[in-house]
Amino acid sequence: MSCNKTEDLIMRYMDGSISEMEAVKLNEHISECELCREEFQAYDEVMALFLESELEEAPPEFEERVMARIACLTPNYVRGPKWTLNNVSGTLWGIYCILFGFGVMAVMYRDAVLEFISKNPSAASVVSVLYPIRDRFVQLTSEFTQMFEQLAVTFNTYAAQSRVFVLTVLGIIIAMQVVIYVKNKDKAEAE
Amino acid sequence: MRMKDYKSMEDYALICECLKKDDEAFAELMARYKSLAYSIVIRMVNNKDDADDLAQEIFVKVYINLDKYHPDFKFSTWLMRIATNHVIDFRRKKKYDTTSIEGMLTEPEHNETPEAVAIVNERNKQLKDALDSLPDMYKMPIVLYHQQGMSYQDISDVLGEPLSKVKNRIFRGRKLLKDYLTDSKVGVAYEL
Repeated sequence: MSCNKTEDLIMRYMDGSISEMEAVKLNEHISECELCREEFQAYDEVMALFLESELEEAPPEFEERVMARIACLTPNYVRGPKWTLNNVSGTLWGIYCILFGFGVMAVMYRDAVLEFISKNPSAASVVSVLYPIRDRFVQLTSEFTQMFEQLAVTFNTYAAQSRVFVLTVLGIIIAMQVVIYVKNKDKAEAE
Repeated sequence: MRMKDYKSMEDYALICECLKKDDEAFAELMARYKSLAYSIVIRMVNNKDDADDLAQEIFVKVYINLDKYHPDFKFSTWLMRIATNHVIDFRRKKKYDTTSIEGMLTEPEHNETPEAVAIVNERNKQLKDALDSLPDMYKMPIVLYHQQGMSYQDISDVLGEPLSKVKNRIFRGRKLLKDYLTDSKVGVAYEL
């Protein structure tokens, strides 16, 4: 391990988040490197001072003095539910999900919905607008389906011919990744 | 009239009672957190009288602003934010002289020798001097982490700073403390 990584590991040691492997590496390094050992001892001394420092309790009668001070105060509290950011965003998400759900149901059961609405005479003008939209939606769906079917046929044709080539290329890429991984692992262990 | 069991209430429930002008609920809240607030203040200002006044002012501020508390945060985090801001403002206004340690010496316990007490006092003074040498931007997160035992995330919430900035300041503060203590030891050796 190199000296420029020592300080990072010492910080993790001070955080109490150093792993066993890292602790072993740090110990090995500071047993060999005098400068890093002195650095570690200096930081350890800082930690020891913190651990020795005493807790501070509030003085006696502290509470009585504070209560005496607030006794003559009359704050004007604004009561009522707090609209925190979490509440607002949660409410908006909830409304959005409900509307989205209704929208999905309306599209899936569009014929039944339109039939139901058309039974209401006052909604006749709305329905007359919705029927052409429904027809256009059906037409677009059909066009997309035909396009995807054509793409699938084209892909199957080329896939059959190039299967061997694709598998060979994939095999080479995987082999290269394994070699690179093993090399990096050996390099990390050597450090 | 049925007496309320304040000790078993959660902090937010106590605050709701406080908003109904129930001072006993506030007294219970203060009993829970007075040492937390006081210890932060005393570590940032080395004078017990100033620390006592500041800690009282902090709780008065908390009392006045209770309706502004959001339950999204822990009450301790909100209290610490008020405490740290109040202390920093005080230090800025006073351009605080950080060398005084009057009244900070430990009183000997019955089974402690004077020599042991002297060693403890000397060690405490060493740490206080080292901490006082730090600018507030490093001293505050160091005190909150190492002396108050707060997590990085809690400190980030208290100070209103990003987590990465808090970590960097703590790392930098530790380095400055280490350098100060090392230099002071070298200085002593040189004088001898």
